Formats: sequence, C-alpha cells, structure tokens
Amino acid sequence: MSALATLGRLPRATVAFANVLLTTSDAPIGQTPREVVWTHRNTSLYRYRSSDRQYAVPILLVFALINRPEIFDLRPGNSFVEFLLAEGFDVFLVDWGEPDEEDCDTGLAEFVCDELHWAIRETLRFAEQDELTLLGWCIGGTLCAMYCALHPEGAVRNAALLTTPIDPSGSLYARWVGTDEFDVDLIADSYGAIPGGGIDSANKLMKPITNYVTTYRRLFQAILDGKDPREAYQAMAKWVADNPAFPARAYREWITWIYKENRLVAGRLALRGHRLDLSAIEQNLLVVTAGADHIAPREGTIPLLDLVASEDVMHLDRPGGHIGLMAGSKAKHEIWPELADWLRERSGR
Amino acid sequence: MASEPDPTPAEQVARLYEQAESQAAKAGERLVGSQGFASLLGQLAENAAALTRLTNDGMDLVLRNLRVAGRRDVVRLSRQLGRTEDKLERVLQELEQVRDQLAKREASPPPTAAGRRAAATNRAARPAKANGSAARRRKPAS
Repeated sequence: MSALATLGRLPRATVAFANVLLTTSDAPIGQTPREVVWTHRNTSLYRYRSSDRQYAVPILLVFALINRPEIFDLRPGNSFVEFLLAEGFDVFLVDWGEPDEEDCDTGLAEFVCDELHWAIRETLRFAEQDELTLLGWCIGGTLCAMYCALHPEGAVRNAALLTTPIDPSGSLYARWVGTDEFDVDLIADSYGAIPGGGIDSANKLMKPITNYVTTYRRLFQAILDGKDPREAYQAMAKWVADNPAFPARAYREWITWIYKENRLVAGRLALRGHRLDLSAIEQNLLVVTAGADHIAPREGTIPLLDLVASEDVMHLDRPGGHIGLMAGSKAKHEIWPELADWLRERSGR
Repeated sequence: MASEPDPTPAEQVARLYEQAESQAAKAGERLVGSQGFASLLGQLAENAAALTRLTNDGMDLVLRNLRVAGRRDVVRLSRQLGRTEDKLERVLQELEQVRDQLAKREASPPPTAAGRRAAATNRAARPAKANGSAARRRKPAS
C-alpha cells in the first residue's frame, strides 16, 4: 500500500478504531443458553442446555476469583462451553459472583469447603450422577486441586487444571507480593473487598508495553489494513475489563499462603483444620501449562505432577499465554480438541 | 530468482516503529521485574489503601453524625443476611438428605413376613441404649 493511500485511509481508520474502543462494553459475551440451578450468597451454579448428551459424567467449570467465568463462553463460534456441548458433554459452571465489602470474611476455606463443595453436590443432583469432572482455570484450578486433596475418595473422577499456580515462588507476581515490602494485611484491612481494577492493573503491568501499547497498535493496524477485528477484540476486551472484587480474607490468605509462604507445595496449608496434602490427590489428572504464561508460569505448575498420587496423569504444555491458550483464536483447533479427547476417554459410565 | 521489492518509506517507518516497540517492551518487562519496582509497587498499593481507609472513615463519621445509615451499616446488615442464608442452605441440605432417604425407603420392596419377624428379633436383642443413640445421631452435612 502506498504512503498516500495509507494516509487517505487514516481518518476513516481512526474513527473506526475509536468506535471499536467506545462500543466494547456493548459486545455480547456469554451467550450460550443456560439456567441457574443453585445459588448461595454470591455463588451461582449454571447448567448449559444441551440436546445431545453423550457422556454421563458432567463437567463442572471453575474459574478464578478474579475476572468473570464468561471466558469459558466468550462469543458464539469461539466458546469453550459451546464446543463441549457439541461434543456431547453435560456442562455446569460455577460463578463466584461479584463479592463486595460484606463478603470480607469469605476466605479460601469458604470457597473450597462450602461454595465449591456445595456446587459439586448440586451438580451431581441435577445431573443424577455420582461422579463428575472438575475443570479449573487459574486460581479456579488451585481451588480444584485443594478440593481434590481434601476429598481424594470423593465425587471427583477427573480433574483438569489449566494454567494453575501451585508453586509460584519463582514468578514475577511472587517478587511483587511475596516479600515483606508488600503489606497484604494493611491492604486487606483497608478494603473489605480488594478492587478488581487494581488487580487487573497489576496483571497488565507485568507486560506494560504489550498491554498498554501493542494491543491498541495492533488493533489500529488491523483496521487500517481493512480487516474486521471488532468481534474478537471487543469480546476479549470486555471480559478483561470486567473485574469483580476479591474478598479481603481470601485475598490475604491467597497472597500469604501461596505467594509469601508457599504453603501448598510444602503441605502446610490447612482449611478448617484439615491439612491439604497434594500427594493425596488420586483423581485422573490433566495439567495444562502455557509456554508464554507470565501470570502462572509453567515452572510454578509442574511441581504438582511429582506430588500427586494419581495413576493417570497427563501434562500438556502448549504455546500461548495465560488466557490466550484457552480463549485465543487458535484454541478451538488446538487445545480444545485435545481436552475433549482426554475428557471423552474418562467420562463414560 | 526474483528479488524482493524494496520496502516503501512507509513500510520502513512501520518496521522501525515495531522494532522500537519490541525493544521498549523488553525493557519494560526488565523494569517491572526489578526489586526496585516491586518495592515501589508495594508502597503505592499501601498508600492507595491507606488513603482509601482514611477517606472511608471520614465519610462514615460524617454520615454517622448526621444520623444517616452509611456503607458500614449496609455491610453489617448484608453480613447478617449472609449468615442467615448459610443456615438456610444447611437446613435445605439436611431436608434434601431426609427426602432422598425416604424416597429410597419407599422404592425398596416391602419386607416379607419372615423378614419382619427377623427384624423384630434383632431389635429385641439389641441393647436399648445403643438403639437410642443411633436414632438420635445426625448425619453430617455432605
């Protein structure tokens, strides 16, 4: 394209670029039909409607305590939930809701021992099954690992953990919040619920130029080149910008136990008096790591593989980022089919 | 072999910009990975938290003196509601367990006359104390 032609397209591209940014909040995400089957406090359990269930064992999707679980169902045509339904799975999703100051006393024990435990109970009741698959992503994966360690003989048949922090001692996040210079107690005491925007800003600061410059430059370039990145960009940008607060107690425990004291791998973490021993995990286990994950680097997840007692353990290490691995444009043809293959073999009666 | 056409000035500028951006990205990542940045971030977070607390405390004090319900009161009420919901959830779970047990009992075939006689014999043989404690024992919430 000649310089003159590029110059001629600039005004139009600039207007289109501004339009994409300004209308991001209107982008439809999480569109797959679903129904609420159980609620407790902020937590909701959804079941996705399917007319073609082929596998008995239901899948319960568990996302992190930051951002919303709609990443599992980003947009029609690029939705993991839609994909699983098409493959014949019975899909449930636990949504932690939007905690606020009144939830300041909700800790990791409440999430694992109450909310997740009860969501599993309700999933089994509604699916009329006695076993299920837990599929956790990011902190959701850590919560699932904690649950499996507490209930090795429980209802979880399979656990799939995606980009899950287990031993984050060498991570950038640990360098930021793992030292005494980061006073987590002061922050947790000041906010009943840690503002999600603050946590999101910290995550973006890990790759400042990429997140604050390159993303927008690439979007502008795509528009200038005559491509239509609106749908894909807006869905992801809307999801990224939706940051519920992190309950203060859970935040304090998460930062202290996992990042400052690294208790999970050391076997020194206890919930309601029950010690969490990762070597008690006996479920069929799939661990997925992403090569370019800077939030939960694979070095912080891999130790789990040596700790668990499961006989059926599989590790998939694929190129991609913390979120891009599962929600990027290539995920549908790369990681999702691999996940479905693993699930299919372990979801029969 | 056909040689590649020379890049236009616009392409050269774009390439230079991308190189500069890539180098800036690497430099940015090195910067945020330093201990100095970690200290700065920690202090910034503390300052923001302390400021928030001071502001909230001040506003709560004003509202309290005006005899108006503030955020703190709403939070206290919400927490009470939350605790009530917890209790209701546990009661509901107990109820569902009892209902499931009843449904199972109804679904099982009625005992024969011989079976009833054997059960009666067993009941008579069992110590009364043990029988009572078994009846009172609550099943733990699953």
